[in-house]
Amino acid sequence: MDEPEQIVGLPVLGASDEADGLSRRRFLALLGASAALATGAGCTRNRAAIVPYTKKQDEIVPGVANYYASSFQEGEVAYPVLVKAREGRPIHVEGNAEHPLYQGKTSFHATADLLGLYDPDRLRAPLIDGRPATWKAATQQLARALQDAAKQGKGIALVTPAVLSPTRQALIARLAEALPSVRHIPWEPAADHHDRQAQRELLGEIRRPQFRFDRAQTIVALDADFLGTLGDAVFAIAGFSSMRRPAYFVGPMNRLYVFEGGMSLTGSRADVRIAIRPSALARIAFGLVRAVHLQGGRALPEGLAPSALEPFALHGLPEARPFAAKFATLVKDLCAAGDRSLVLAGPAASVEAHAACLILNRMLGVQGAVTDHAPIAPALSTPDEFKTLLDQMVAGQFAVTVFWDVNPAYDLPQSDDGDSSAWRAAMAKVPWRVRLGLHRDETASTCNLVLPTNHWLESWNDFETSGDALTLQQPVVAPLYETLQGDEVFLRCLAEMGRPVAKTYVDFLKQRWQEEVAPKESPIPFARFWNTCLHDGLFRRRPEPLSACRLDGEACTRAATRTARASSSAGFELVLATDPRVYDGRYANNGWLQELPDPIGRTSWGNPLSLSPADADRLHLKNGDMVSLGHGPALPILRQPGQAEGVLRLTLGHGRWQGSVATGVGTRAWAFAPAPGMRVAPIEAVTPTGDCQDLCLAQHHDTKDGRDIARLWSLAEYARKPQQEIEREKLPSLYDKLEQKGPRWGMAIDLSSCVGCGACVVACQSENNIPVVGPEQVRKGRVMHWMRVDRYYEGDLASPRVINQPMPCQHCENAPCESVCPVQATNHGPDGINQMAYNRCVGTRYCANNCPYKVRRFNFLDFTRATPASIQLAFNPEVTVRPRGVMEKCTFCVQRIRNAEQVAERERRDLKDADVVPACASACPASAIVFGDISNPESRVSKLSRSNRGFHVLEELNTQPAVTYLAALKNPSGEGER
Amino acid sequence: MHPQDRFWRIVLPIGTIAVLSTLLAVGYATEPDRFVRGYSPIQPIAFSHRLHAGDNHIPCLYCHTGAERSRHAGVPAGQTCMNCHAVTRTDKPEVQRVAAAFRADQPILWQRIYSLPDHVYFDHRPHVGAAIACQTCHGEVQTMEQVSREMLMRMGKCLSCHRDAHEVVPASSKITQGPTNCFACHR
Repeated sequence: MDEPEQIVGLPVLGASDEADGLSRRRFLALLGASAALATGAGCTRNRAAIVPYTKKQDEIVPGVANYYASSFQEGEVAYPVLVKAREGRPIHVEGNAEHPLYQGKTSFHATADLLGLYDPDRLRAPLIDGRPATWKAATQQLARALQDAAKQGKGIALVTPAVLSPTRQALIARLAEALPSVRHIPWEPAADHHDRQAQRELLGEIRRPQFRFDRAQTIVALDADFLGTLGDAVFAIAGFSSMRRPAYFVGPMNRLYVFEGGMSLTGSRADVRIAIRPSALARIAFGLVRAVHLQGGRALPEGLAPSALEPFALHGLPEARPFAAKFATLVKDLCAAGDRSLVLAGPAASVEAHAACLILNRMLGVQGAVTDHAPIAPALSTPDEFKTLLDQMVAGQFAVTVFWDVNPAYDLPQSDDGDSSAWRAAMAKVPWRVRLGLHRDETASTCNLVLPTNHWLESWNDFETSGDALTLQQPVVAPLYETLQGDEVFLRCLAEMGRPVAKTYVDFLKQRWQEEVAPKESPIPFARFWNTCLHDGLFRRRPEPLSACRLDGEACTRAATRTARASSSAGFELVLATDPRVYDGRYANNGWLQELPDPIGRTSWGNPLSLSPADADRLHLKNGDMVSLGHGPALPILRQPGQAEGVLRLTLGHGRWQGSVATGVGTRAWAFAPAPGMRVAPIEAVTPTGDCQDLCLAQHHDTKDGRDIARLWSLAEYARKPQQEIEREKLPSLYDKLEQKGPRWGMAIDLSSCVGCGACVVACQSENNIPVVGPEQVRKGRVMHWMRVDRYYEGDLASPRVINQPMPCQHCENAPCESVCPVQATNHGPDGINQMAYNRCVGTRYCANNCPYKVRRFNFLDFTRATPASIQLAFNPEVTVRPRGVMEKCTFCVQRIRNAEQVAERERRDLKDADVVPACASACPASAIVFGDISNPESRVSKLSRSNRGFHVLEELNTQPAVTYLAALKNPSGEGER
Repeated sequence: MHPQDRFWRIVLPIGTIAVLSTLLAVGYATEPDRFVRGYSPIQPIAFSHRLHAGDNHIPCLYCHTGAERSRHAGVPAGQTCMNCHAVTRTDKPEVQRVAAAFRADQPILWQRIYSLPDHVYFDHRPHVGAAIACQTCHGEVQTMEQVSREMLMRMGKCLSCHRDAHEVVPASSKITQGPTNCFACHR
């Protein structure tokens, strides 16, 4: 690891913070100078000009936000979004409520990728051989290179991410028509390649089922982090959480079984969790196939011989034997739930484990009941195909390679910054290496033609998000720099080659929509159809029915036999998990996501190697101790309660060496992958190096230390509670009751729905101009998040129960912070909000000391001034930017409250219940956060606050918080768990 | 002269004056612009509110359209001027300058008169909604050839009406005061 000074994206911070021996003489000199400066500054009065528009913009009223529907693609999923823009400048990204599936929720990566638009590291103009060039020259150069390659019969490789856009697909087809030697290689390094291989073997085609977690009763996850990193987490969280939320009283709940090596977000939500080595997953899965067949009487797929399953008797498997009782209930649950169950495997599970899941789901009849219509998945190259491609490059078969929004120089296992890597060898043999991308990243630095592309907020496109909707992507802002959309570059190339094509990509898109999407024989003119779709961000359509595909019985038997023959290894197994924050590394240059703590490990800025406390004890390791895995760089460790013994877990996406934020943060986990797409690596030994590193921990207490801070009940415990609404008795207070006018704002947070993903933290950061402080400051505990998600372990630390608790300011009625402020900078508003007046604050920090919830944040440094100017464009103009020396905290998004009040007043009506939605509640994919008026007994929030699961944190202090938490519920299987 | 005498008669008075005048000078120089009444910068176009709002009775909201819909009342786009001046008074040099700027797609850089610090979020909507006349804060703009600032932009000025609003709202209004809590304006 590099030294932290190099890591920080905020270079000025370290220096100004030091209390270096300031001599008296120097102090006086500075004092005089600053007085003079203050006088000087005062003379240059702030006489700015007002710059009006010349032509009136119909849709823009200065000061009023506009919202535009668009879409955001990540991997094999595209999320519909709503982009908030002020005076034409995107400042916030939320979900699009028009979409039938997502209903206003979106990935927090979409929210955070707003920073990607304003990233100062963006490429600003085309580069040919490292020299700036005009777009005309660059496209001519590209067209010439492509044509020359075609003439010589040499290959042209077009490496892109998964193509979800039918229009982009059509464009690539046009390109391949014009240049027959184009080979399109869709490449997603973090995709679940094992799943695809299993589907290919068993089904003959690859589908992308939409799992309806809102209908599944029994869910089995085999190292499948479906709530975190496995594909469409937003839809999964929404569905899963809807089944975890008994409206008021005990109701049906789903049950989640998780088998995994490390502790993932999904594992932390499990009702029954079994820590197990990933190599055992396939055997367990086939054991379940056998048990469901024998005990549930479910027929095996045709062609799968029962004899092939003989080796997998659950009582005979050494991995399953210690958990016999849990397995018995699991089998019973699966058989009872039948088509309302779901078995999933993740990328760390072997191909065979995925095959067993397919068999199980087929036997239980899940198709149609719990999975919706499964469209054909976007084509992706297999890791083998990608490897062949590199070999062919080394053999000199390619004259041009185009890397379009992919970064193989970073995420290929073979590539590293050493000289002799396979990647460099391949690159040396390709005369034209073309980079189409946003940033000056690892791949761009090996390319000789670098073409900067538009950010998705500057681009046009369409996506197939699900069977029943086609979403549109529209630019919200004109390109900030001299960039072009990648598709546009190819359109220009085609024009250079004399091919008749649309002039711009938006024309191409509209043309295709007019010809193929718009309903034929509709009386509505296309222009109106197009504008409606653009406004809604999507086109609803009836999904085309897909034929059911047969499960190849012989392939099933082969998978079972392979599993039976596989031997288990003795050493450590290293699981390479997708990072919930920076994904496969594409967001590593994003300060918000780097600073967002891992939901379970609670570390930010980096990826420590997690291992089980038992293993750590055996090796005498404490948090932050460095270890070596035999090859690759040394890694700091994190003791992870609940992790299986003999399993190591490391997240991908860190350890980049390009990008001012990303450089040097964490370790490049791709280097440990044995081959592209492989997500488990055998490690012989873990050797401590003797060094130690300070981890960037956002939370230092792992347990509640016996205090009743966050409640977690089993369903049986909950059933014993009085099943009626509760009225909390008010303790007597020495303070006068505060005068209240109008609504009293409050919040209810359902810990049973909350999965702890951190979407609220990112949304809050974006909405409230919260600065990024960098790893050095995080280590000092100076992180500025107004909303944090605490994580507590309960019970035995070898297999703990996990609670996540979002913690905004509690807006206490008897707020301890208010009574200690010497200048009345923080006080109580008539609407129950604990107010913070920044201009009054003198920075005594008494309030933070007296806050029992530790939600107050102090600006130790001038974080905003250290924010790059371009990123300041992402600031919300409705929220003050706080200077150094000022305390700040959650305001319940008061700017949204004030705006809603004005809108209601203009419409001459009272505020409605859902009029005010703070950023965190709006972003929560689980709908766990409900905001509203708690003085109105009919509002959703007051109904929830009266729930018999409701409690206040540290209620005994009589702070009377406005935030009510609803106890988390677990649905364990009775015998095993309690 | 006795040293003590010199102190009382010369050093102390001169010193006091020196200190006071320094304080005053520094205070005057560093005083935020918004605390000065009568600030009346020369605008890029000699636009007369007296002519437009006074003699011609054009309502304020015709140009400052944002006041009802947005926090900001806003300064009209060049196009709004051209609504009339495409045909009227096209012979006047000032109008020709406006027209030229509009044709060249150049914005007119009006000098800001009323400004607030960054932590104040004044909202025009509730004030216009409460039927408070624009002149209450902005002065008799319809009589001004060149607009000058009438209101000191101090928090005390805001609070005086927010505490007792009966002088500024119409007699029939039910409003007696405005909010005085911090988050009403600061956030």
